[in-house]
Amino acid sequence: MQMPALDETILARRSELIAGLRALVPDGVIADDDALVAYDCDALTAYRQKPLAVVLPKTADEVSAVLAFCSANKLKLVPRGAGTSLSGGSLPLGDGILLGLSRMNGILEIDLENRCAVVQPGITNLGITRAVEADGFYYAPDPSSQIACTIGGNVAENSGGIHCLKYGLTTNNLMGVEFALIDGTRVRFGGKALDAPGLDLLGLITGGEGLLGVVTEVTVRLRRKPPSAKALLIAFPSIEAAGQCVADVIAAGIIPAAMEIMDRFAMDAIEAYCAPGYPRAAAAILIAELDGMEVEVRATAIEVEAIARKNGALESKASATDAERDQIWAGRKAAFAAAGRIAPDMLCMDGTIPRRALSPVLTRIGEMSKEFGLPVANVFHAGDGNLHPLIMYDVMKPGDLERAEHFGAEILKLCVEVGGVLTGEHGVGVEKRDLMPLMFAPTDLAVQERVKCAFDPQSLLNPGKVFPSLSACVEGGAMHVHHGRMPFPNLPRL
Amino acid sequence: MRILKPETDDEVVDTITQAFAARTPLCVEGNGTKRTLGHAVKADTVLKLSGLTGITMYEPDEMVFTARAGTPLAEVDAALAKHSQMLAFEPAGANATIGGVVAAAVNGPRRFAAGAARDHLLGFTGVNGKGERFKAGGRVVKNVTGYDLPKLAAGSFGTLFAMTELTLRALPRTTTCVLALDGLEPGPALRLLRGVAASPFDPTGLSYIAAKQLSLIRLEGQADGVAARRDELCRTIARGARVMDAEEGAHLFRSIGEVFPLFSPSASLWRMSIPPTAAEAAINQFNPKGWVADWAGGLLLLEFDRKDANVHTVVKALGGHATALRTTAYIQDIFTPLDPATFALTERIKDAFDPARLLNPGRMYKDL
Repeated sequence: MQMPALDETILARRSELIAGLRALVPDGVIADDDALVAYDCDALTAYRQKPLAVVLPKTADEVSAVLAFCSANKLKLVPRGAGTSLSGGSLPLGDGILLGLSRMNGILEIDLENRCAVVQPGITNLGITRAVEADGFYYAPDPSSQIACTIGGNVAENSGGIHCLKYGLTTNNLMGVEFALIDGTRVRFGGKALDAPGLDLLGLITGGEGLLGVVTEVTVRLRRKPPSAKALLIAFPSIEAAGQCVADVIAAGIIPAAMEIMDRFAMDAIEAYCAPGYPRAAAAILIAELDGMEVEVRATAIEVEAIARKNGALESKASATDAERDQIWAGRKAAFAAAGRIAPDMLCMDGTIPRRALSPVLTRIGEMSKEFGLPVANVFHAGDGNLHPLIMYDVMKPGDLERAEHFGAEILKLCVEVGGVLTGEHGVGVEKRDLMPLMFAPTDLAVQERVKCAFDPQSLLNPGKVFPSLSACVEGGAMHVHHGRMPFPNLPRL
Repeated sequence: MRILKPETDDEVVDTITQAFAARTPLCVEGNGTKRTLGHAVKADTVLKLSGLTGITMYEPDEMVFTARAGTPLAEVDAALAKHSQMLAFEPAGANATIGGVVAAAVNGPRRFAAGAARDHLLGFTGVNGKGERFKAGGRVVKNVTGYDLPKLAAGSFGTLFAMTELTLRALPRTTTCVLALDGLEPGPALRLLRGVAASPFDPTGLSYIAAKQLSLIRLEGQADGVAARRDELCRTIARGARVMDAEEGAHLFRSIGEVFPLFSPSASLWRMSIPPTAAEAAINQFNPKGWVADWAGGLLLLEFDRKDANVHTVVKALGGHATALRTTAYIQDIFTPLDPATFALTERIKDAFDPARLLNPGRMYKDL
């Protein structure tokens, strides 16, 4: 997996550039080699690169100043929230700075009457909910890293979570942002009123993976916490039966708050890790969460259990208290940690497929597991078709990482083949960058790259991520620049 | 006036390719039902997309369908209704096309709770201003692969590309109950709507028709749940509410979505999106002859006559923005003007899709 070639002129000017950055953010520039190690990767730990320097601004003005400086000096930058990206979204570049937003972590305004909150980009996702839960509100998108991930990062990645099915992704829960463009100008998209005039630029930059600008302020939609919630733990004799049950629930007009499926391998790993007591005879389990008023939850639970029985459910358990609900979820939430315990290293894949393809896709993944000789556990956001195959490998074994990546790529190829997409919530980053042609024809990619040019013509923001080749934004068309190497390098450029 | 009505994607490509070569501006529309929304387009050639019809894929238990852009909205609604599903963003408009309601961001009363067109468009195929055909998005909700161009498509009024096919979410149609409260003055009515919006009762419609002093609360969902919420609401914050006849309730919400049926035919009409708490101030500032509040007060439809520049300045100060739906005199800015930096960015994005500025020039803003 290649990153763009390093810019030697930048490296030669390192001291001068760092001095320039220190003048802008006096107490927030890290340049010491040992200290930089702490920032050399995000949660895609297979790839590491120390940045030229880490810059940690405290204010939006400092962010603007740093961006303007980068523009003027053709200095690349990688924005970073908490560095929890599983796709290398905040993997640093050796000839660029890492711009960390974690010091900007305050709450600017809580406006319950207008059901929104205005916050700084570095506050954690869960931190927002914590600030409003005493009043009975919460911020709905809940990625499993919510205790650590930042809202700015959530905006960049359009993060999801298990409650997406009913409550949507970040983009469906965002009302406005203040966005710093590469020249330092800050613009506001949206705010406390719905549907800003002009183009939906808020929607466009959400999921932009740090390639279009830097989020300096966020206005999020707050929701009233449902009065009650119940988790159902249902065991099935096959993945197929579990999948069909999910389809039948949707067909009955029921949209649970969450629906998760786990396979036997995942269940065994989880049982060994934290012993939640999942049914031993099941080939697959479905956890469905229902929320709303108590009467509604009870009635819907009865409907769902009836549908499950029609699909051959082996057993079904419904939580009677919040504690029991947490217990049912504890195992699912520990899935990644549990799988990580089985093997030294793990690749967490993230493809989305139409729900009906679940059974054939999992069967094929099982076959591939044997072909590649690598074990894989499957957890699945059954409600919305988002798969998380957990591929286990050992980075110390020669060739294992490559085999795991190859296996992962084949899984994503399969996802696209059955009508799905490469990534449902983790983002493309570097991890899936080279697979983009599986989903997009050259024109489709060119159209997107031209959007990038409208924001960042010099390709200074997070280069080497998302798109397989760097396009030089030449007037009237894009010149294809493959990883920093110009075509026909011996020809003079005018 | 030349009217071109292609029936295939290739014909759309050819039309725009030729227009690009000759630098001919095009008026792009579905069935032309929203021609008066936005500025008039200065173009002698009309590209009508209403010839691209047909639902090409519909999987009810995947809650997704694909339709060609010119498919009548009525046909889409009917097909979804057969499986007890619907377009959650509740677009209205007899003779509208599915592509048109998305391009013009026609969002109804349920928008504040269930999302707008932009939240339900999953993917599309389009032809840009150079005649290049491309696809964006996909057919699944969880999709963060590449830039979210479907968000850009919704509300772009055909100024970036002509959509030829759209993939959208279809959501379940469930038990509905409309509660009505009579005789509330604007202040108490708006406070009530805001209160219900912030309550656990999960409303999907919160409107007030000033002329009738009629407040409406719509509840949707599982039958027992709707009944429980209805009873609890009537016991607590909506004391005195009556259950409205289903047909009447549906008709009222449909009218609110369509706007014009609620006002006199020649009235000057404005549409404003504001923070709900600013609704009372907006009413006081503009002193409308008639008005309707929707989205718990976050959307106002007002009848009044006033110089346009003033209106936008006032609305901006209230934290919102306005659209002149119908005016008795010429209006320079139908949509609230953008600040210079946002306008410059919008121009660059426009040029990324339509460098010769042929598609619906001037429809949203001058020169765009």
